[in-house]
Amino acid sequence: MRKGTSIDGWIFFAVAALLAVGITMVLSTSYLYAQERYADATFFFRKQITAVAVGMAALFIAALVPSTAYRRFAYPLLGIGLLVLCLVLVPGIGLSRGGARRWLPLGGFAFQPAELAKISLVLYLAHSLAKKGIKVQTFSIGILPHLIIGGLFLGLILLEPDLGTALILGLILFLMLYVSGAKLSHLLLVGLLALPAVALAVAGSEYRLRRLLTFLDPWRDASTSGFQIIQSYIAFGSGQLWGRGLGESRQKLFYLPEAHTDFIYSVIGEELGLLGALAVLVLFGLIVLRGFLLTAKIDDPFAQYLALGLTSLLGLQAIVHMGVVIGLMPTKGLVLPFISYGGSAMVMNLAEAGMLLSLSRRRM
Amino acid sequence: MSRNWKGIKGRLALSGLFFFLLFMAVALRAVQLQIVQGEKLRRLGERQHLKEWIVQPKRGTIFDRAGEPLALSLEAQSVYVRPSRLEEPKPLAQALARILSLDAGELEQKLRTKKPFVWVKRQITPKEAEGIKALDVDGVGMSEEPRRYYPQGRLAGQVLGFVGRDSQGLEGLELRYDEYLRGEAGSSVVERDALGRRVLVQGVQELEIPPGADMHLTLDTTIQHLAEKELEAAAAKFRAKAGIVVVAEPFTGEILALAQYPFFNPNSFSGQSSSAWRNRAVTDSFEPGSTFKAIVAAAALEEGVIGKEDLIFCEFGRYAYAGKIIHDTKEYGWLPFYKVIQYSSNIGAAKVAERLKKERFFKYMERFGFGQPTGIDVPGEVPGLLRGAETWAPIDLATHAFGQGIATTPIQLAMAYAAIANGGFLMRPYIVRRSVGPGGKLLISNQPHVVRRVVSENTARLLASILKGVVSEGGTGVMAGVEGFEVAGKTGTAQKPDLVRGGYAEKKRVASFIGFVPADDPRLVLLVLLDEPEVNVYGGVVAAPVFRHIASGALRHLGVVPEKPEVFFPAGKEGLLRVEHRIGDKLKLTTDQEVPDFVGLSMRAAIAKARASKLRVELRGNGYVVKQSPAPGSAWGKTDKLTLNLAG
Repeated sequence: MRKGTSIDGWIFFAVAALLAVGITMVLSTSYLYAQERYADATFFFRKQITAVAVGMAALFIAALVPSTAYRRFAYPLLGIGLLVLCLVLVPGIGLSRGGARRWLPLGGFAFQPAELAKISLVLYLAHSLAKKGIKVQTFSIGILPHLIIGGLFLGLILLEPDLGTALILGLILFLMLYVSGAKLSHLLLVGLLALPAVALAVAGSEYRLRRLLTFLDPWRDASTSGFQIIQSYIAFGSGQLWGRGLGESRQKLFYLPEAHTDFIYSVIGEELGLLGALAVLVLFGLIVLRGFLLTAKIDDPFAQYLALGLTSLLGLQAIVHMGVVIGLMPTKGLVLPFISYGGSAMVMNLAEAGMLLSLSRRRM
Repeated sequence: MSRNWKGIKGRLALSGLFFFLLFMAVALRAVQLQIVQGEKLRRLGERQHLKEWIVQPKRGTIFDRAGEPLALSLEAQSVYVRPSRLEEPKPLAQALARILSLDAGELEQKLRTKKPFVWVKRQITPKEAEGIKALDVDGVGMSEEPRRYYPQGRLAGQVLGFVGRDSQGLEGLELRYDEYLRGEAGSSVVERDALGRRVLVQGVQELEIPPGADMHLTLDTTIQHLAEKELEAAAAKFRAKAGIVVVAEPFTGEILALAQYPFFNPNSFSGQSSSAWRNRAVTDSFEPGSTFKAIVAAAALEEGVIGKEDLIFCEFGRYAYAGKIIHDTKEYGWLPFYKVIQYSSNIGAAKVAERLKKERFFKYMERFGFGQPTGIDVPGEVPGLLRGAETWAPIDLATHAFGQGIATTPIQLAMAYAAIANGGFLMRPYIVRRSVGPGGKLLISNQPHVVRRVVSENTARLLASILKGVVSEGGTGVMAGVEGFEVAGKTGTAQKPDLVRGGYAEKKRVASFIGFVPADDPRLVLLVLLDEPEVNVYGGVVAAPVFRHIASGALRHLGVVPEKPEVFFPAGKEGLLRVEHRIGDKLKLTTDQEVPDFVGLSMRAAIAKARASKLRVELRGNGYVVKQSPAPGSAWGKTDKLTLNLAG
């Protein structure tokens, strides 16, 4: 084993560029909202700067740690991940906001266990699948344990509820099983078995069903349930080619809910136009592309699966956020990595990028 | 460690393709939304962002004729709190409640909400604002809102009227000239946020709205103040329910003062009833009573049916006419016409009206402006009540002659007398001289306006000389005399119609005096009316002194030089007039005091002396005191009243 001379410069560049866009856009989108709510225009901006600083430290540390060392964290992190996911559901410990119990108080900060859970699951799956090797083709050994652990994570996250994160983790589980060599018939079976569960999860909850119906035809209820997505269309679409200009968004004036978190890509589209929106898309595409190229180059199964998991995690979060605000997926509050306001996500996403960079340093 | 599964490259490639397709989908959708539908979505957005924003200009100021502000708009502070930024609402609620005199408990409830913004108190006083500023608590703030302020308080309150919270005129001149005072609201298309609030976009100029127009009134604050002071004193002294004073310039129709008791302070209009803020000089009509004899006199003189000296038989106080009996307060025999007016004989006036006949009488009533609004520029004017001559009952001809069965507004009556004063022209009264818009643009300029000639100048002169007699020795209005000036006028003591039982109310009277001064070159026409005085009901006693006080003060203020040093001139010897003067509310008489000496004093001096000693006197005749009872130096007997016999 020999160490590579340098990290993947493309990934680092893309992350840095996205951070620059993100800090700017958080200021732009939260300025008036913070002024209105806290009479402190830079309230969110300052918190975001802190999160970026902590996240960058996490990125460098993660990038410096040899990737082989990560394997040792797999089980401890799995335990911690499950623990915090359980803790957050306990009334009195988990903080509830807007009907969802997604936050744990952590020394003055509200920490999102789901963010830790993502990396825990990816790390566990990478370790476990690498350990199983060719036995992954055996259902009871290769599929079932991962389904159980993954199902546990998904179930706990669905209880918060946080359907978006659960969806992303489900896709990553599926993708990692697929790439690591699981039999297509097994995956098909799992898929078929999961279908009723997904259907139940959607149809069993009225608001999710309405959200789905709204997604199919938002204009039908433009003033009620379709309001958010239509406001998002108006924002994104009215940017046209060149955008209104930085800071010139009209839709962030309380027409868009959570313009600085769940709908930040709408405002990017409005202020920076198609060019800005595509630039952000290309930067994420660059991370995914470099991530896949890296994955293909690595020989060590754990490192390879970890690289795949991390790339998918960052890529899918970005895709789901962007897909939601432009109406390709049912609306769900998910942050855009490196860009949206939110401390836990920022720190964890940067740490994940750091791990990806660490993996890029090793050439086998 | 097991080696990699061999098919991984293929599945990785397929996974990569999956991602590629997702990214492509996002890119294509972005193009579709921003390029294909971009224009449509942008317009859709504008529909909700853009709003016509209307900015109200600063309301104009109302000035009196000397430029004294009577109504002006100030920026008043309003206090708000942002509850989400408070840590502990209780102490703050208590502090705010103390400064703003609010209920602390109620306020605390308000502050405990999760709302980002609540109003605590609107339009606070400057003193309260200082307290809030000194408090200096995070989450408490003030914003400016316009507030209408009347610096003179109750002065001319009913004339000025008042405005609502959004500075819209609701009463008085504020209502009548609202469109001028309010000014042109400016509007611009502005961006607004989802909460409907205006958003300042960089590069867009703040809308500059010119203020509303200023109004310059004919009112004279000094005379207005004087009128209100004297009116209040008389109303209190005679325990009158209400009172009205109109002071106008006879040659122009400009209103110098319009006072109305009880007063009304437009700074705090809520909590006062509409009867307090109604401008009763134009909105209410009264039976004029004897003051209307001047109208029948003017008509008769103009038509030549009577001369000043023509004798009229006054039936010794009882005159059967059209199945009714007309009474006089005194039993008069033959009186020359001018004495009919001077003594205010109902029978004499009725007989003059008989000579005139109803059509001609009616014609002059109309020409004097009765039964029609005068056109004064204050809201709510009523035409009064004047029935057509063809509908009159036979008795109406007689009763109208002494002012019964018709109803006039005080302003109508004042303008009718102004016509007599100015040589026969009915003027249109006005209270706004001019309105000056932003940039000094003249929007309104009211000039004296002659409605019509009512009587000839000779008739007016002749009548003025007759009306002078009313205020001279022997006349009913002698107490209206102004030192150094000749006054022409007429008293009125009208019964009030009993609205419940019909007919006339037993004791309710309207006491009035209307006159002009100086009689031969009038500068002022002045109406004084007291509604339902209790202590004394006679116009000559209740209203005439108010005329004197206001007129003398106003003439001094206007710098009018007294025309004659001698106050009284000897009046005729005939006739017997009794005027009861009750001076002061309480009689301070003690039997151990000696009766003072009044013999040799002029009537005026005698009245002054009686007033000074707080005596109740009865005057008989005109001229100088020739005899008094009880005699000077004697002790008071059972009587508490001094009887003075006067002779020229």
